[in-house]
Amino acid sequence: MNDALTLNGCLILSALLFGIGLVAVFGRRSAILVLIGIEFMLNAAVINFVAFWRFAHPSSDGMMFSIFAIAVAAAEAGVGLALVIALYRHRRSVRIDEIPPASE
Amino acid sequence: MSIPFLIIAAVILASAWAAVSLRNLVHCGLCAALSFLATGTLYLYLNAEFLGLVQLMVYVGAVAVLILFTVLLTRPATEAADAVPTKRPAFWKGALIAITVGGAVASCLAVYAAPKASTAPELSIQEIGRLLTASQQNVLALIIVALLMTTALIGALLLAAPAEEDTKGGGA
Amino acid sequence: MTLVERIDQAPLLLQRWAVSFFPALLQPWVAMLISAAAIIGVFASLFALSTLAERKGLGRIQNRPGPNRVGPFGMLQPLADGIKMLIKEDIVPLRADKVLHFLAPIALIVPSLLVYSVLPIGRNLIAMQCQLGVLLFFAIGASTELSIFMAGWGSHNKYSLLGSIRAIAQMISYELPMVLAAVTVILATSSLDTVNIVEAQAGGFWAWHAFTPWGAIALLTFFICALAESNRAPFDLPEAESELIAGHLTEYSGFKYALFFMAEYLGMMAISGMAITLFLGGWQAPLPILNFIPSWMWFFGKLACFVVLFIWIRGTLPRLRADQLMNLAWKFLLPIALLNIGLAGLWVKSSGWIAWPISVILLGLAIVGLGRLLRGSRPRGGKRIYRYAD
Repeated sequence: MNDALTLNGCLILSALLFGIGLVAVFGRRSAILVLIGIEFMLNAAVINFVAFWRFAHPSSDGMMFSIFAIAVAAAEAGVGLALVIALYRHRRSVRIDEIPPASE
Repeated sequence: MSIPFLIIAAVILASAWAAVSLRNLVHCGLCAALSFLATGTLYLYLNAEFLGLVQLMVYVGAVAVLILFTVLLTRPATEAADAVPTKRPAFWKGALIAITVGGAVASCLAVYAAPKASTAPELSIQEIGRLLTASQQNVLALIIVALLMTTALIGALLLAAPAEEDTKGGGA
Repeated sequence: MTLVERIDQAPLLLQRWAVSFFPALLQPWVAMLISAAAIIGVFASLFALSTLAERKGLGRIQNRPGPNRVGPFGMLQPLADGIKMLIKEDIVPLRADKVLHFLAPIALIVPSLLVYSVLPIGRNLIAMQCQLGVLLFFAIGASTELSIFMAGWGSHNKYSLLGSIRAIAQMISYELPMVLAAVTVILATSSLDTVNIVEAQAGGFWAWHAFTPWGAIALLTFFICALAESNRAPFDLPEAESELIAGHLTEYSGFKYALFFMAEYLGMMAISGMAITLFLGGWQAPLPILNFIPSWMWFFGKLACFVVLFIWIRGTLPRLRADQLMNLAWKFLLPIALLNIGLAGLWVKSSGWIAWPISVILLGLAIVGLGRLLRGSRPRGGKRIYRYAD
């Protein structure tokens, strides 16, 4: 196995996954899908940390950061989805473009 | 690049793309779960066993299930199998922007000269535990994350719990 | 190697003997395949036996004979059931999501079998010794929730969907105290490796974790959660036949139904196996004198006790109400499990008799207090109004 190539492969993979997450954030109107997109982007970042930890800087900092990133991402998903449910209760919809601005 | 890596990467990308482009939200959620699962497999493949299993437990066991739950709770049951309309031109515009960003970053990385390959690092679970609790920064971060999680739990509960007037007299 | 050791290690020796016929390149793969085949074979036949035991046992409890027509005393009933399941028509509802409906039983049975790979069923008898065995068990077990969701949603049936939502809500809620109960053992042995955990309990039954104050409470918590995780009575709300027909199983027939049924029993036995490994000494004999009995027989004996206990409870206790179920998990088991982790830490640090009185007092206070709180709690929304019953 060629390590250097796999590192590049991981980085390309994470860049593409980040792009797919952006597609959901920009292109879809369902708040749930936007949250899925954000999760993909967080995953892409963690893939980068793990790849650099594995192939370039085996100093355990990357691992620590990934663990905390996953913990924070879980909390974020919980609060985000609770927000979606609260939003649905008030507006009967989860479509992003139907949410009024906060000042209203 | 080895064959297992290519297979895992293909599964991650294909299911992630399916998750953002399918019309049925339940299918989107399940494809997202498959993508999370494949990401966990990638961590296992990269020698990060602890992280891979945590990914499985947190993302497949909790986040994906939460997403599917929310999908079910935020629409009438009779409509369960019907498609959610999406403005297609807007989707493709967004996709174009995102693919440009992702592709630009990816093409830069493709020519990136990786540092000298090192041997696979070994990090046992005991060492991870020691690192989490022994060094000052990590302990602080651990406590902050614990507080954050508790706050998030209570906050999510308050946000999602129905207001009192909704439930009053609605016991039947 | 003495004869006793030979019998003890018989499965392993058999595997080595079979592997030796293959070229060296293939040997690790063949060994893996043999382990997998052994797990599937042994636990699938145990599944058949326990269905028979369940039907017989429930029959006895309900004062009727149970199956007694096929073979002597109805012993061949599982075989007849299996043949019936295989030749039944496989019905897929017209508007079902065909792909999900097909994938759900497969996605359920694979993790149910996979978790057995980290259970040590005897001395050196483990399919995959892994540094993170306990975590692997729970991580793989967590993914069964998704397949239940797939079954409920893919059937395109309101009862299926409601049943699967109930099942998932219940499994997520009870997973927390279950994992926290397991954490106490991890804290005490400072290892996630199931083999190390079993070896830490060597010497006799007094060394088992169940015979420490925190271990007893953790075992009890773990067992209640195991009942809920495997959707068994008294926590079988997802399949409450009087309300939901059969929950997520409603639209399944033939072999797919058999797979769901098998996954339920496999899950039950896997969680019992984990409870045995964590708290009851795994394959260790209760007294050093009894070491001549092979280690795997101890494991299967303890497993049989657990299965009988499951059946007994199913025949005895009535089903809980949905709000009682949630209150029990969040307001009783979770605080107890959290307190218990603290006490396990105290036990490890003080390493002596002083931990006993403190633990007993604190746990007693907590159980009594939380229990009173639980009894006083009423369902949200005031008095229940039965609109159609009056």
